[in-house]
Amino acid sequence: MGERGEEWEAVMLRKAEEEESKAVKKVKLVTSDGVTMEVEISTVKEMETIQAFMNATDTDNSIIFPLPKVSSHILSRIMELMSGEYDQELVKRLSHEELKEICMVANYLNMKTLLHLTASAIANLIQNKSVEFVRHFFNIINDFTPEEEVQLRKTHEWAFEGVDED
Amino acid sequence: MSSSSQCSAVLPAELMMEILSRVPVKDLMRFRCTSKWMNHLILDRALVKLHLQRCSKNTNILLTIVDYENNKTMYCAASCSLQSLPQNPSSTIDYNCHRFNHDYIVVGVCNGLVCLQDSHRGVDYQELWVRFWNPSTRLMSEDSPRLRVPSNDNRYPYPFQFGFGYDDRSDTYQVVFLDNKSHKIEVSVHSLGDSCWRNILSCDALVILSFSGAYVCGTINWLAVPKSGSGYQGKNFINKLKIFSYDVKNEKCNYLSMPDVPCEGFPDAPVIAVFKGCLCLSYRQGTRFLVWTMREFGVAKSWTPLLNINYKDLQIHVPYGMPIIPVVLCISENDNVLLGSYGTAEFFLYNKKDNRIDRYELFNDNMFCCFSYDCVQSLVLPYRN
Repeated sequence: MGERGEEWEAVMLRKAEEEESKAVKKVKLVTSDGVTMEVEISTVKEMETIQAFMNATDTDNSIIFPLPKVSSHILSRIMELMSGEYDQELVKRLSHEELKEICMVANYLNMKTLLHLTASAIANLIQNKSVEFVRHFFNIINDFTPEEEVQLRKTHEWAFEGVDED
Repeated sequence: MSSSSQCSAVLPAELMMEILSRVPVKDLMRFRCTSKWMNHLILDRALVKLHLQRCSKNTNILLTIVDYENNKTMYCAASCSLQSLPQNPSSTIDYNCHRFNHDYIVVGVCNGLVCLQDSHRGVDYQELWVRFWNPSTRLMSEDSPRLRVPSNDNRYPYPFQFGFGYDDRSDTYQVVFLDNKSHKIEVSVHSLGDSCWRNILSCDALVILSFSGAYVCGTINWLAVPKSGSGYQGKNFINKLKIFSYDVKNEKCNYLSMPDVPCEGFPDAPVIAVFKGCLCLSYRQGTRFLVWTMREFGVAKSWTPLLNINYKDLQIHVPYGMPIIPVVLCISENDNVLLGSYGTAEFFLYNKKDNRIDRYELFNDNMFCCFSYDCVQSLVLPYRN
């Protein structure tokens, strides 16, 4: 093997080391309640907001990413869903509050699969439900005057047939 | 968005749209009553578009129906789910049937929005106008501006044609009016929400055989034959047939090629329609009924035979000695074909895999289906918001 061959080997070795360091690199996520959660870089790949930040900074050191809008409880629920490969059964076990919060985080961190899963789950939940249920579910205050509401309900009377009881 | 958004919403509007775009139209119409913010959101153009992208395709059709109840002709339309229609045709149609209080003619259906045409015949002039109707939201527009044509117009087979389509570049729904003059066709267009009809262009004279155009891939299409020569009858008639195609976005006219049909027997009653997003041609030839589909729009070689049956196998009732004309009502994912029979209250489901024909009868035998359109359940508004 000539000089060029050795040079080549050295390049390959360096590449392999780089790959390895990438594979073990961790990201620290700091939640709103001050908990630091260390996650694999592969986990962050799905969080496009963080991924974009990492691509922009291109740092070799371990990264600390603050999540002021995410509680440790919700983040651990998200980790469970991710490691469970977004099983529908896991989604069914979530409370309404958890589902809403996870959906918001999925939107904030730009996690496409999780957003689709939770938005679809909420859409299924409110299907066939009453207007009162939806107000309560989303915490929406009715700002129609009674007359306005009666008028609008009359316009779509047919849409109130066969609605589930709350 | 209204100022109420800050105080009432927990989820941001963009996230709420992600959720609402996955909810059926009937529920959304009810949820308009939740709050002013939700009401605005549900009518928002961005949500209408997102909902349209997400809504399931090829699950619903709009049947146009004529009902001869008490010797009075009633024009009706029924938006039917393809799941329940072949199982319970009578109850599905009965439950979804909307009886118009005018003699509306359905011009076409596009993204779940239906274009209806009405007319008033005066002494010298006939006035024509359209309306837009969404059967899923049950919202209907006002009358469009009127067009005027001479009253004693005997141009054969139709003095004029309509078509309905969508221009995705400008996000507008457009009605196309073809006025068949002796030496040319004049094309005018009315955009939904506008207060006029615009003259677009003139093109070579043709004998156009279908009243309503079929909308597919940004174009509206009519069956036609050249005006010169031996006319539109005769042995080689099917080989003279053309598809006259109007490009909604580019405002241009064009021709599409027909399938390579062997010339045996007299081809009769050709019809084009759109199913599963593909142009379909059906006609009778001798004792057979044939359906072709253009798998890839504009590609002549992609015309594929879909159905070729002896219509005697259909055993259609002929109560008043009327001609038997099967009508294609829908084509399923696995290419099964649902047929209606023009003039009788019957359905036929052709099962491709088993090469079997199942027959269904409507219990209301005053009713029969005229035409069928693919019709998604959308939020598209019949007026400008």
